[in-house]
Amino acid sequence: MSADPLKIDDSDHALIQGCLQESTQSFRVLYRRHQHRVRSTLMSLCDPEVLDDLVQDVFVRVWKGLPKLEGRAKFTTWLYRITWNVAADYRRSAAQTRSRWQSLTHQLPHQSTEPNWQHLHYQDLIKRGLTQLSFEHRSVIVLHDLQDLPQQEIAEMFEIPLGTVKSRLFHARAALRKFLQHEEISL
Amino acid sequence: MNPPADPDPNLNCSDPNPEKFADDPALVNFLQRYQPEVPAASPDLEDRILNAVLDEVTQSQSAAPPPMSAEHKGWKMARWGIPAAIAATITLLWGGSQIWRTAKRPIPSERDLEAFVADSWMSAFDPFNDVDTDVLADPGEWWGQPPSSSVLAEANTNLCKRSSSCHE
Repeated sequence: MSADPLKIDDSDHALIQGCLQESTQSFRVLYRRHQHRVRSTLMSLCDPEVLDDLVQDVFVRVWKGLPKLEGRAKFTTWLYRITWNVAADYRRSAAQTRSRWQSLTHQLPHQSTEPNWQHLHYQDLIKRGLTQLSFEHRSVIVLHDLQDLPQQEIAEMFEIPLGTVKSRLFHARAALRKFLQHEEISL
Repeated sequence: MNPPADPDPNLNCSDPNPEKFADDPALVNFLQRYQPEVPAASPDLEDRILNAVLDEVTQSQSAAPPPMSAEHKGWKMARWGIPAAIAATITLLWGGSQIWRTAKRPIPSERDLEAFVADSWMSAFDPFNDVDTDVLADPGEWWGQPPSSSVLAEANTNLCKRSSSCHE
């Protein structure tokens, strides 16, 4: 896939230039600006108990990779790509053992006694529904439907055709719908 | 529940049935409304990340060679330049002396040159002046065919001159 021309918006661009001059203050601002999207993406792809460590891993990789970024890609697309790589690495390393989070979430519906139990129940259903998906399908639905990333950017991020993104999105949604119907949720 | 298999992972934009990829607003709305809440970061996370970045900066600075000052560059040039200059001077002096020695060799006189040319000329036609002629001691082999009687006579005469056993 051909590399895009520089698309970094001015504010990010200025911060990145500061980071390239080894200004940690610029990096602090960059972190504060983008940490939430990194955090929520990782939350949807990985376990919450390791979230802080994974966020740290993402931003250290960002710092190391900034000298290679300029002129190659849009910063947010590049950031999501790093975030996804960190999530994929974590999943690979954790694949051998069943995570504590998964076992907890399977028990949550029976343990929840909060007044807004229905809200928590739906949240739990979405968590469980996402874990049912393959990592490719889950990544696309998280990035597109939860993070509002355009399909074209996802295609560029994974270096796959746009049609593949559409196809994965379609099948991921169908699987989620099927799961929710099985849980007696009608949309 | 197992996820459905992706029937065509390389499906491109020219899919004949594009409406099947239409948005699903009800599902998307449900997902966004009830998406898992992101737990708050630990209070020290930002400082941890900045410290990790500072460690990276420190490591990269200690790994990189220190910048070279102009004075250091001058000293480095002198350190390598002086031995190179000495070696070049010695080579030039030695080469010049060789050329001078060749140029000083005396030019022989015309008389000496004539004598040298005459001697070389005679030696070139004297078959016994060549060590290889021992292999062809029989004059019959000299030309690859029987020599004439005059050549044979001359050869015999030369043989007799060189051989002490000839008494004629």
